[in-house]
Amino acid sequence: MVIILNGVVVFLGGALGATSRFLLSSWINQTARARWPLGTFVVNIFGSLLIGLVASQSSTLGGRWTLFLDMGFIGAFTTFSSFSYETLTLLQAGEYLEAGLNLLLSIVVGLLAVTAGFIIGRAL
Amino acid sequence: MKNIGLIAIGGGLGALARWALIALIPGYLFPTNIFVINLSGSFFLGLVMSLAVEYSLLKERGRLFWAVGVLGGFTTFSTFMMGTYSLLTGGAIPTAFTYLAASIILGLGAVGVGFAVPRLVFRRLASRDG
Repeated sequence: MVIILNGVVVFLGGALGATSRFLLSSWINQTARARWPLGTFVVNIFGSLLIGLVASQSSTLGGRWTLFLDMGFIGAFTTFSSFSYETLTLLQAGEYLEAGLNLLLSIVVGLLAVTAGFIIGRAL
Repeated sequence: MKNIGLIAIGGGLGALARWALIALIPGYLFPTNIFVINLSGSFFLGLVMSLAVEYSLLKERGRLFWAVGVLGGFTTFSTFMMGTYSLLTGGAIPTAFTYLAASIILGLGAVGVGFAVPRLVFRRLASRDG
């Protein structure tokens, strides 16, 4: 029974995460009208900050909350496939600078965001 | 509102599939599970986008369910970053860079291959009919 309950927890977290990603990234893309995929970038960086934060609190949060937040919500909130697809689209359009910046910034800022999440979590 | 429901169900299913694969595929020394999840998800996103953009075989709602919901929920950037962070802070620097570079380069390749699959299939079917 535990596995079914855990599955429901992951499903609900994933449903909430994917919905939040769609709403936030479409709002950002409509508002900013940037030449590169800013919506996915912001979502991925914010999610990287959150995953560091949750990892630093996992002992106080307990297994099921960690499963909901980490495996469910944040996992589905961030996306690797759209990141790859949007970068490839930039490359195919000949926007090499934008594609390169999207790759480099996503990784560098993403790793810094995880670190910042841990630092904030330890300070709490 | 209906579209939000489709994305929610797709995202939930994608997260469940990711959870199952993380449990089934080992990822202790190298995050093989997340690596496989992100590359296969990128392949399928290429496939789905080709069917939606090039062939109009997938309507807007189908694209929202599969691309934004299922595959968006299945693949993950945060766990990819967390895995790289853990390798870096654990001192496994070459492994961290291998994981980063392989995920990025093969991820782009996987989207491209997925996008090309329908074109190859339909071309073969057309030449057989003709």
